[in-house]
Amino acid sequence: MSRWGIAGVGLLFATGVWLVAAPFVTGQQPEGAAWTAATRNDVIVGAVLALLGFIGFFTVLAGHIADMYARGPQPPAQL
Amino acid sequence: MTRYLAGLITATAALAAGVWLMLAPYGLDYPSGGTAVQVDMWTGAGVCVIALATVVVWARAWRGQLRADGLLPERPAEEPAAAAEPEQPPAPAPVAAPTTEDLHSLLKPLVAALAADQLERTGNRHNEEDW
Repeated sequence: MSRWGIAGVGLLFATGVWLVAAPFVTGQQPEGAAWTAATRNDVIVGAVLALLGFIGFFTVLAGHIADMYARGPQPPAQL
Repeated sequence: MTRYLAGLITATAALAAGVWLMLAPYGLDYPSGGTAVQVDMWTGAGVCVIALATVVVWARAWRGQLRADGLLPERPAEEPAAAAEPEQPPAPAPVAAPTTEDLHSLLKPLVAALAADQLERTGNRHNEEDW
């Protein structure tokens, strides 16, 4: 179940990266010209989405690993 | 708990971003019919779908974990076959056939009352004849 959740967060990160690149890949932003409102919006929203996906992905991964440690065998106490 | 919360927060914020992407062409006055409108509308729709699916997945996973930890009550088991059939009235209990003893015990007080009445009448008649 949480594999699908991690995949969803990863997809959101990928969508953010696509959104940052889209104005330049699709040719809607003329080369050398000042950025249009659409380009600015896409780059900002894409960057926020990619950052969210990045932080979310690693937070989810860290929580998953912490749960694995908590449920696994406890190491013997060292004197 | 951290991972469920992180997944839910990320997906919810992404849902808001997706909605904004779909509204941005109207809010920021993009040139109509341009590539920017198509890109934002399709990407926004995709982000909304992915974010909604992710919210559902994390919410279900968290609920399952809470049930497994005993913090949420178990869902009651469904009984589809029993629930589908209409309830029939309970069959009446079989009536036992009356026995001879039952008839005797039923008639004995009646006969006794009749005999007492008869005796009383006979006694009254004798008294009238004595007069």
